[in-house]
Amino acid sequence: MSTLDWIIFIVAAVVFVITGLSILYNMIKGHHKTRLTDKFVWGLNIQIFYALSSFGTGLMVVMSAIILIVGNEFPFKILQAGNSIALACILAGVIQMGIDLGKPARAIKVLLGGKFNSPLTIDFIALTVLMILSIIFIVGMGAASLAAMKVWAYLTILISVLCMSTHTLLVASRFESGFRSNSFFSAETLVCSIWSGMAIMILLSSGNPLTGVFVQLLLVLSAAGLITGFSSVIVSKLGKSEIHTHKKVFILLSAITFIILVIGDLAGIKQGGLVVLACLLTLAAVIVEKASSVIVIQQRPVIPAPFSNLDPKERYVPSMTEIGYLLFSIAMIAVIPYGVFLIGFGA
Amino acid sequence: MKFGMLIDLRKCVGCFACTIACKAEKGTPTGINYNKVKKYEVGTYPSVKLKHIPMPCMHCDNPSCMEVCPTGATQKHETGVVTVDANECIGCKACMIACPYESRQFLWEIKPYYEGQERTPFEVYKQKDFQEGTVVKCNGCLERIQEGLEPSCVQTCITGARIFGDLDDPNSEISRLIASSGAVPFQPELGTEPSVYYIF
Ligand code: SF4
Ligand code: SF4
Repeated sequence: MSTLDWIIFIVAAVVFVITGLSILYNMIKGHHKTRLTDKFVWGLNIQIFYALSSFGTGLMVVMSAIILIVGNEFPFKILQAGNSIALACILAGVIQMGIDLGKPARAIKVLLGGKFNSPLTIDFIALTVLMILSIIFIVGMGAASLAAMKVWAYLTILISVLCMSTHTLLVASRFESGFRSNSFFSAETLVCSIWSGMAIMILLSSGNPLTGVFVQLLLVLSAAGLITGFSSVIVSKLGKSEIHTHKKVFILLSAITFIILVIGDLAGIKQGGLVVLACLLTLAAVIVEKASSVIVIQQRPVIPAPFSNLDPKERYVPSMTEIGYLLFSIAMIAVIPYGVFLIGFGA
Repeated sequence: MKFGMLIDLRKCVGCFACTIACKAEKGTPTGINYNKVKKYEVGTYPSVKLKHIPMPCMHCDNPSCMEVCPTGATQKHETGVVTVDANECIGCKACMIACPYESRQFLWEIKPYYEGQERTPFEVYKQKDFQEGTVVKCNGCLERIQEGLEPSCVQTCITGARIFGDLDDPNSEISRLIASSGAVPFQPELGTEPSVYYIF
């Protein structure tokens, strides 16, 4: 590892330990350090859970697609690094969700409850299976046959997409029917996952001959993000509901990403600063989209009842504790892939 | 027996006696209120009226809160009331997102009512089954209805705006009143099949 890599790893490890200890402290002391209320029952931590699981599941779908398309031709090292990042994202996301529980020590009851029609149970199982699949890849697929890799890819695609769909199901009740609904919400969730996964893959595979193809696919996915976001604004306009700032920012970021990629494509640019910028903008757009699908939907009255106008208007601003939890997850995303690299699994 | 409640909004005067009775019966911790009475305005200035609508848990027949609960902490009792088992609840709040009637609350902290003092013996006794970090809601005064009593809010209502009874029995007072008055649940199109009916 280079000196810069070591610095990143050591800083991340220190942040990881400090924030991890503070999480333990808060879990013992109770939950009243957050700014969540009965109106805003899910906040920054669930937003980040959504974003990180979107990154992780999207990346796993992209890697599975690569295996199905080019088989053993693609460098195993990149897929291994991709799996360690997907694992880190999913694990960090699950921890964000776990921290948000009122009784985190009872999380195992999700499995013991046997409620397999609960979106949370499906999500919990799917994310656990995805983590197992990524560990299997990191540790044991170095010398695997193409057939074994393909089986891994089929399973991974199915479970990742299942996971993405539960993230629509979990908040589906907050979307009303008819023109008051957002009929593009599930499409946005799906697009955002695969789009962010593609962006991470491009950042990982810089210099690979296939990166140019990935950049073109990113262009297609940014168009899908832009148009589904735009369509949901049209739905809101038709239903005369408010078009919130997060949605506008999402559309703006998608549009800028699309334009950058079109310019790059016309100029024949397949890597470098412009491509990295487009990838980072993609990740930012997805994080903003998760704010709108988790937090902004809670700003509106749950049902358009006559008394809703007189209900006090509340705002949600995350507390330092919630931001600390977020830092823990960010640090974890650096620590796990570097750890895998240092240990040298499958090398 | 199937739990049912009828609320005649023509009789409700917005006195909040049901809210207070519920708090006294359940001893709910600070910030927790199972029996909300919502206010709204009708008409155009200067000809406006303030109206009230009690919004308890609807003890739905198809409770979305129960469907999403991953642990089975939310259950439908044989009497039709929807309950939460604090020992099974993990505090995921999925049920709060799913309930369209905002009938559930998260218990962040059990604090004494009177600042700077310990909890009173009444609070300690009444709050022994509450657990911080879990979701709480009205249980339809299950203990009372199993003894043949009415829920506290019904017994207290000063105008008789609330009627409690068995929806399974077509001859019960509530079933006859629902049939004769054309009472309907609040926003039945939400599909949760509430057991609380309103005369608007
Ligand atoms: S009103 Fe809400 S909490 Fe009560 S049973 Fe219906 S869905 Fe559940
Ligand atoms: S908060 Fe408790 S009652 Fe509600 S869904 Fe989660 S486990 Fe079930």
